[in-house]
Amino acid sequence: MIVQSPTVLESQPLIEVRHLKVHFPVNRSLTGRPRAWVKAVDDISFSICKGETFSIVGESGCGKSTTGYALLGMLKPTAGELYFEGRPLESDDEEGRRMVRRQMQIVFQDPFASLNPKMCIGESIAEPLRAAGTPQEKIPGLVADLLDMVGLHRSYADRLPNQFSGGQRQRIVIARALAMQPKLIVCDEPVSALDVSIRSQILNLLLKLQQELGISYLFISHDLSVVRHLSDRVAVMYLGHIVELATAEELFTNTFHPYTKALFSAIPRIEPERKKAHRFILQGDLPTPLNPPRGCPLITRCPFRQSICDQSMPELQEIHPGHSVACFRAKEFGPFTSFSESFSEK
Amino acid sequence: MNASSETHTPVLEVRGLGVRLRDIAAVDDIDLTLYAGEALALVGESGCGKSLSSLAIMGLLPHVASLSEGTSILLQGQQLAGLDEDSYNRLRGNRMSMIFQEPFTSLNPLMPVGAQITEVLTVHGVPEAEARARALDMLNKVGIPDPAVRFNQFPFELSGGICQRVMIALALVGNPTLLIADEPTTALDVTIQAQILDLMRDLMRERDTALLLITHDMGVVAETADRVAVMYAGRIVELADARTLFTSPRHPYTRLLLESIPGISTPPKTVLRTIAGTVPDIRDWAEGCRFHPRCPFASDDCRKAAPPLEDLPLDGRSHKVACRHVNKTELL
Repeated sequence: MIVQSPTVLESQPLIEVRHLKVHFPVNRSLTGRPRAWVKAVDDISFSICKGETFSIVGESGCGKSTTGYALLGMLKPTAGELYFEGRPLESDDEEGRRMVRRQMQIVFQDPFASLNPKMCIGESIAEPLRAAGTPQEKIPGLVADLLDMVGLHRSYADRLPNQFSGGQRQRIVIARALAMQPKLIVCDEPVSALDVSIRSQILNLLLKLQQELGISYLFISHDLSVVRHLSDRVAVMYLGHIVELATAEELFTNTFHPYTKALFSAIPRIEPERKKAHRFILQGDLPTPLNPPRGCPLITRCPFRQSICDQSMPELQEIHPGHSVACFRAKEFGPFTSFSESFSEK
Repeated sequence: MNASSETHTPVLEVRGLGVRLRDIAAVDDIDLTLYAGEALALVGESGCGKSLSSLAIMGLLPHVASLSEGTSILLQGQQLAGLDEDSYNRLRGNRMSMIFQEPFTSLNPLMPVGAQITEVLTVHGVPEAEARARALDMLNKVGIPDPAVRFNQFPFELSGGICQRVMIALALVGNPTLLIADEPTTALDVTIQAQILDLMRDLMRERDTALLLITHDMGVVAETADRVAVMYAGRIVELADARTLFTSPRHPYTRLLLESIPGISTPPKTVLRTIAGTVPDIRDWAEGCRFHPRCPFASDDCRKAAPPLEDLPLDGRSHKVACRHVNKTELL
């Protein structure tokens, strides 16, 4: 099933995820046996190349953050295989995981909650270095270099987090993530908590670091304008499944899956010319992942559903080189090329 | 439905609105006029005073905040500034109402949602039976499936989207002339947000309600508002109809802000425009024009005194800007 994650950039994948499942037990009985499972991530496969920005978009509860956490080993996958630079990552191989984990870091959404308020920021940045056994005499120099790299003054190292604004704190968090010279940074909504006038500063910083250091990003976001700006490839998730995967350029011009179409159409955008009447809005609510519908996950809300859709789950299939869609009717319809007319004709 | 309804009397007329947080002026001399059927968006970043302004109009300021002297808030000609709590209670839910960001925390968790909507009417003297019928009808109008079943359910039994629909039903059941919505869709998922925005637009249009929309999301503004007022550090810096504001912003702050958001025409992976510095804390607001520390055109005049919000109409349409360097904005 590696077909699903085509190597767009001709290089060996840094990370490969095959058939990843993360299920959470809920509603345990007295004996501790789970009565039900939330299938937060249900059988997804993709790969991330070196120096690539791979984005996962979707609404809350679709499993995008869970995927990132499972990759980092912060959550134990229920099933599936992970490969880092071609080597399998076994979840019970603690030593192997620890070495790999240094090469994968994370930047969270809320910079206020991500820093210890009683620890000066130089200490916060030095912590991963210490944990990795860096000699003490080298640490101040490394910390100062890291601060430089994210555009903060070297002398700030002995200040406390409360002396910084949200944007500056996010820079500190990024500096800490860079300390181990990672090959991959999972960015979980890194600019959502920031003011609009600060966001572009952080986005520019992420782009600059990628160009200079060749880092790969797994970028998790619901902000499509940001995703479009940063990404090489984008996966759209719905209820734990990847429903569409393509290069950013392709996905934002040729959308095949009705959910992707609805998601793109729902995002309010600053385009005064856009016709509101042509928006494609899904009816109803997201089903709870505790009781997902049978067959296609979108079946409860899809205006194009047919009898085939509730019988089995559509597989993610390549429809063009590098563009995969999980929809029985994708071929029949062809792409939703523009956001407006094509839908009403269908 | 358009902004050009100058002939009507305004629903809301705010003059010289100021809110003080202890001894700091958190909202500084704001003028707003809102006509029936019109949607005016008040946008700005965190701490700019947009929510305080709306709470001041609703008479819901927290205890640490107070209205400044000289504030005038006219709702259909009736002065609200200095009104006592009882008089405000007669207006709220009736002639003016408000929708908040968090539907879960704004609803009473111990009361079925139908009863909460009914209560809005009964406290204003509508007989119980009629109130129940109107509440049920309202649940239907906001597009809640099985309204009769939902009527007797508690908020915890409902999803975020349904709860926000209940909030809208609550706000609109009394047929208010003014609705204030403070970040009404920020807590919702985007596909649900689109549903809620459409619903609000349809209901407002149908009833000719005036909407004051408070938000930080420029996309929501572009798709919902007829006119837009941009706030920065407690003051309105620009006010124009939505199309004009988004196509030709004239305050350097508005222009830089809009250009820092990646759009359809921004080439991917290129360096985005930024605004230098950070959003100032209320204790660090600058003298003179409050944007001057971040403004590329700041001159000595800007540092000394705040520029007034002046109307500089373009093609006959009103466009208010508070900047001495309006002519330079296009150079950005």
